[in-house]
Amino acid sequence: MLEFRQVEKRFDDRLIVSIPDQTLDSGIYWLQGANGTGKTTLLRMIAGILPFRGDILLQGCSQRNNPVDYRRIVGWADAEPLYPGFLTGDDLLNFYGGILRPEPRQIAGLTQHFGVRGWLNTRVATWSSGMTKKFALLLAFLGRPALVTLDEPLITLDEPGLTGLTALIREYHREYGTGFLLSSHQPVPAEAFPAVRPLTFEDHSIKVEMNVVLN
Amino acid sequence: MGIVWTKMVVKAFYRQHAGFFLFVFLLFFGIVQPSTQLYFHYALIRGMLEAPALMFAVAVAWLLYGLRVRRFVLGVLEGPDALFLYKVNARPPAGVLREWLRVETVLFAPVLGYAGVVAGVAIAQKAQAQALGVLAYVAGLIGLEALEVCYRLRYPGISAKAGRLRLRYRSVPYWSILLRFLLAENKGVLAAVKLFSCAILYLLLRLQTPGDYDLRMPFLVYSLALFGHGILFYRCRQLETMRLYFYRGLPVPVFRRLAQYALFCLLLLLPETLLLAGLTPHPVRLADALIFGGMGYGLLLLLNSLWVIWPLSAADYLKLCLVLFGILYVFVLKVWG
Repeated sequence: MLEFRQVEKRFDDRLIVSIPDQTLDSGIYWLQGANGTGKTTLLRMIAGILPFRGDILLQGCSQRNNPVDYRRIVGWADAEPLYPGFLTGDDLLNFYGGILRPEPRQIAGLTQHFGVRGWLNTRVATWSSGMTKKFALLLAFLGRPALVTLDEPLITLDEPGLTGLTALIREYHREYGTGFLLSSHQPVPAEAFPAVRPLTFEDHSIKVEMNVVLN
Repeated sequence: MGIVWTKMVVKAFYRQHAGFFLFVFLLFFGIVQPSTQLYFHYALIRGMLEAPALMFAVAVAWLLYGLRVRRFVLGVLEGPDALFLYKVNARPPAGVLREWLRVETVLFAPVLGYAGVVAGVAIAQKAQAQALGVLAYVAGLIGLEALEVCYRLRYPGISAKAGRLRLRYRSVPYWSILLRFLLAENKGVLAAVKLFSCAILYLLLRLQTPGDYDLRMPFLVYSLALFGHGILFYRCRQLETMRLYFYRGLPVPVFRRLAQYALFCLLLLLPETLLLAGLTPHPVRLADALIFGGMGYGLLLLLNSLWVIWPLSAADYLKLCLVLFGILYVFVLKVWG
C-alpha cells in the first residue's frame, strides 16, 4: 500500500531520512524512535508537506507524478498543530471541505464524535491545546483517506478524546480499510488497537517487525 | 502595580520603537537648517490650522500612532508572561483606569507634546475652539485606549471576541485567509502601507499638467511605495510557514495555488487601482494609467513570488528588492526617457 522508492531527506548536509526501497501493507503501524531521529520529518514527507528526493507511492499513486491525487488520499495531523488564531472552527472545516469535498454527513459525524460542535463558532486563538488537537485529528479524517498519518496523536487529549480516537481508528480501518501510521512516545494501548504493528525508525530508516503484533 | 506597567509596557514600547522615533525626529528636524527650524514648524502648524485637509492627515497619523500603541499594549497583555496580571482584577476598576490613563499618557507623550504646541499656536491665533479640538482628540484617543485595556483586563475572553473583525464566508478560499490575516493582525502596517502608496500616487499624479507631463519620477516614487508591500508579503509568509503549513499537504493543483496568490495581490492593489481610475483620463492618460496599474500588479506578484520560490531571509529579501529597484530605475531613466 505505501511504497518508498529511494527516499532521502537532508536538512543542509545532515541526513535525516534514507529509505532505499520498502513497502508497507495496509494496517495500523506504530512508529517508534528516539527524540530527534526524524519521525516527524518522515510523517510530513509522507503527508506531502516536506519535499524530498525519491518518491513515495500510496496505493500505486505517486506523490511526485500525481501530487494532487496523492494528497487527496492521505490525511495528516501534526503533534502540536497550529492554525491562524483569527479563524474559527467553522472556517477551518469550510476551508478543508472546499478542497476535499467530504460528505456533509461525515463532517457532522466527526464533529459529533470529537465533541467539538460547541467550538465551531469560536476563534482558534481561544482554544486550549487539547481542542486544537481534536480539530487537527478531525481534519485528518476528512474525505476518504487511504492512509492517515498521526504524529503523537495521544498527547494532550483527555480520556474521552482518547477513547473516541482509538474507536474511530478501529472503525475507519475496519469499514474503509484505511491505514494508519502513528508515532508515539507513549505506549500504545494494546487493547485499543487490534493488530497494531511496531515500526522502528533508526539509522535514518524504518524497520518493520513483520511477525510482531502487540496485543 | 505602576512599576510593573512601566517595565512591561512603557520601557519596552520606547525601547522597541527607538528607531522609529529617531526616524521621525530626523524627518522633522533634519531636513531644514537649524536657524529656520522655528519658522518652519510655526508655518507647518499654521498650515495645519488653516487647511482642514492637512489637519485631517495629521489626525490620521496620530490615529495610526494610537493603533500602534494599542497593538503593542494588547500584545504584551495577551502574552504568556503576562498571565499573572489577572491579579489586577482584585483592585477597584476606577483605580486601574486611573493607572492606565497615566500609562497611556506616557505612551502618547510624543503626540501629546506636539498637540500641545499646536494648541498653543492655535490659542495665540485666537482659535480656541481648534485648540480645544486638538487636545480633546488626543485625550479621546488616550481615554479610549485606557478604557479598552481595563475592559480587556477585566473580561479577557469577552473583549477578545467582541473586538475581532467578523467576516463570514460560506467557502473559505486561501486568498481570503491571507487577506483576513492582514486585516485582523496587521491593521497598522496595512493601513500605513496603503495610505503611503495611495498618497504618493495621488499627490504626484495630481501635479501633472498637459504642459508639464512627465511620469518618470512619479513612476519611480510609486514603485518605491509598492516595494513597501514587501513587509505585508513577509508577514504573510511567516503566517504560512508557522500556521498554514498544513495547506501544502492538501490536494490543490499548482495552478489553483498560484491563482490564489494572483487574486490576493489583485485585491491588495484595489485602492491604488480605484485611485488610478479616478485620475484617468485627466490628469493621467489612459495608456499611462494602464502602465502604472500593470507595473504595480506585476511588481506585487514578483515580490510575493520571491517568498514562494525561495526560503529567503528578511535581509536577503531587502537586498533583492534594492536590486530590483535599481533595475527599474535604470529602465525608467534610460529606456522610458
